[in-house]
Amino acid sequence: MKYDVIIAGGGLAGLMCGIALQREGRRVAIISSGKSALHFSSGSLELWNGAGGSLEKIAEEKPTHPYAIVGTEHLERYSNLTKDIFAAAGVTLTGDYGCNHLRLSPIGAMRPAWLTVNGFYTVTNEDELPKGKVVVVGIEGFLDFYPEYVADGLRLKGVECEVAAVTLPALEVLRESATEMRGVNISRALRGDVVEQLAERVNAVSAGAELVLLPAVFGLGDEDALERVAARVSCQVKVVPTASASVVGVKMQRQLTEYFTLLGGTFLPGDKVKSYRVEQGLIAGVCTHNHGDVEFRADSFVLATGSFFGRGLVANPDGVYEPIFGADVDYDADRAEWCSKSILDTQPFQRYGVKVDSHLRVSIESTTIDNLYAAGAVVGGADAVKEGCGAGVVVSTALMVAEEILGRTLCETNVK
Amino acid sequence: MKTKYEDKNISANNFEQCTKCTICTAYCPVVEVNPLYPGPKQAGPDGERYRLKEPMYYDMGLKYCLNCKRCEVACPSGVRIGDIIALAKAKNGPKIPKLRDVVLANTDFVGSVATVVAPVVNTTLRMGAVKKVMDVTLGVDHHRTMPAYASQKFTTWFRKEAAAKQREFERSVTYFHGCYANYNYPQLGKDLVKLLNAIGYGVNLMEGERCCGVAKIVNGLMKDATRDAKRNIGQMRRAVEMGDQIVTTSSTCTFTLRDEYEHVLGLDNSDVRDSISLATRFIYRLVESGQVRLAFREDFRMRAAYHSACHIEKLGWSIYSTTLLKMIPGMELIMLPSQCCGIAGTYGFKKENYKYSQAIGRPLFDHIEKLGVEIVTTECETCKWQIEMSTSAKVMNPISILAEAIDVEKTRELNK
Repeated sequence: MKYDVIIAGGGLAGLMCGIALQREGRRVAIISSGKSALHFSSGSLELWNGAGGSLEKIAEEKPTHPYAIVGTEHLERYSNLTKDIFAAAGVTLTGDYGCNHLRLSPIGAMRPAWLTVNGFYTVTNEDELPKGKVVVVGIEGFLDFYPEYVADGLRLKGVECEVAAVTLPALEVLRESATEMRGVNISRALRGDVVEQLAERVNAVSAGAELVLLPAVFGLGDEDALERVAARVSCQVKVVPTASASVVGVKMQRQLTEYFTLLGGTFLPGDKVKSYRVEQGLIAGVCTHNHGDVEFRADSFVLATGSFFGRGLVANPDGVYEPIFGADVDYDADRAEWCSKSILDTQPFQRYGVKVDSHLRVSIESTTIDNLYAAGAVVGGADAVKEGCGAGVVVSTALMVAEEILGRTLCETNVK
Repeated sequence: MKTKYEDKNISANNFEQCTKCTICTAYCPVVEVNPLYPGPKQAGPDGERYRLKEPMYYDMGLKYCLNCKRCEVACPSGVRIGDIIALAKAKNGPKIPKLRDVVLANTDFVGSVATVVAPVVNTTLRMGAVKKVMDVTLGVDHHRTMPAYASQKFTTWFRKEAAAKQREFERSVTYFHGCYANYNYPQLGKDLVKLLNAIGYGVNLMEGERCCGVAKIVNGLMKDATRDAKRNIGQMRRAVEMGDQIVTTSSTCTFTLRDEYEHVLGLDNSDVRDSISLATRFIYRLVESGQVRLAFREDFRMRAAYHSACHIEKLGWSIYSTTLLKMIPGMELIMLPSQCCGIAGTYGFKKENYKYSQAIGRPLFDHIEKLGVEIVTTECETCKWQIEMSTSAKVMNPISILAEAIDVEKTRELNK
């Protein structure tokens, strides 16, 4: 099997890179071992929360940070491209480079965000928080959404907040399997008349409210379920992210994968790279678990396997390694340095990842491989949690790798 | 770095690797329609923790698992959830299978008896009264039509009409025909012989091929399945020693021979596993490496939709069939979204599952009808029964389409 580019990893990084290349006419195959961290999506992409210092000074202060390698001058372009690609896949993102908005977390904290999927509750700043009453409406028996947390968070900011719970016969059925009353199941049940019935129940518990907040469980049954609820409820309606599996994440994964496939890309689910072959210092081909000795050859290869959750990185008592290519990884040799005692402190292991050069190329045993790139959370140097830069690092490295492979800049206007 | 720990630290079917992310549950086709099923996470790794302590924690709801393995394809952590469930059913499920399950599971025994008196059996099984009786006494849902039996087995035809000719070829493969091609639809086997002969390969059959055993495995007849599997492994070993590859036309047989023998029955098939291949994969490899060239009829026209059966999805092998089909000049191939059709072998024949089986397949049936395609193509025979029963489309194995489209004379010339 011969492609132009083979990407290991089918999460946000692999898909963004694959879509960008496929739109430019490159033939791309994505090898994806299981579903990705997109399934934990809050509906927002973060770029930089400011806790890690000034983004403008990153090149001096954190020279190994992915943003220092990407170059902050390119972030605005990548931001627009991200919105463009998501829109083409059917997901509308709002927000702009250069001005964070605030979004609500599942436990009621206001967090800076860069781009957010339509329908989620966001404000430009805290002055915009509602002056009137907010009602957080949960669904009875739903395991992954806690209205009291959200309400408490808002009350701390001085917002008048109440909680309520609703149910419907169509949702009661799901409770027969008490352990599986999850967002995805609820979302699928929200179709047809059930959507309007839900809106009526919400109206009944939200008299006098300025804003109703619902868990983000819309769109897998009827696509327009949230819009229809919003149209029927007498005040403003917005959604708040839930714990995993996130409905918006399931939708994003599906829509981006479908878009990639529609562009002619080959997506190989449930498979992973088992071995690779080097020819004259370059990666010539990879073999996978499913395909045995059928080799997948390409001119360029992209490592987009994610961090520890995606198994792009693995830790054992001897160290941290990258399991596919054995690429060089940046981490502290002393294992005692990997973690901080308090879970809330900065955790050094968050920054661990593969070493890359200025073109995001990977090295194996200190030799740079000219046709092997890294994109996404597998790249070391960023602390996604503390710096609030997870998605920003993912999309910017993914799009930069696409440009490196193409040998030129991507721009919005030359793509459909 | 890896061998020291990871290779020695693997729990059965990776069950300790479960991070409780619930992503599998989001992709389970049964959870979507049946709240009585606890879902793959709960039925698999979660339940396993309890069952290891005390078998009384076995949940009878596990019978609703249809063994599609889509949970395994989705799992980000490599947990073999479907295998855990299959083994738990075998170990802790009801020990005395129902008469119906024994009948449904013994596809080869029932098949060899039925083909002798095929016209009688076929007519009888189509009679409304008989269906009602089977529904009440056996629990085979009366909506189902039992698959028709052929009056001449494939193996009988092969011995009489084809065997002698196969010796004329210098190269050969061994065909594992499975129960469906032998008892229900010998034309599929004939199509494969036509195709392989055209590209210069003779066909051998195994001596005393047994059912792959999947129906026995899912119905809890593990002893019988193991006996058949051992026989098949021995026969496949002989074929491989003779220098033959083993080709198949059924995705489920392929998956069972390659993976279930080891994972579920605990048999060592490592010396033959890599030699077992779906016929489309075998042919694709010859074409890709330039060893074989295909010529197609100029007057061939077809608009078909490809359905990715669950076990093809698990094997990851749909690209071989679809790539070959796309090589046919008169072919317009549409990809259906990958989803379960609901039949899952004997599962959908059972009265208690009929309703769920149809509900699982509904979105797929609607999609097929909306496309208005006359032909659906898939490598799975039970998907064929389900889709033909539930839509107006006719279902063909990719091998049958290739056999219809191929220009035998020209292909022979090209490969002389």
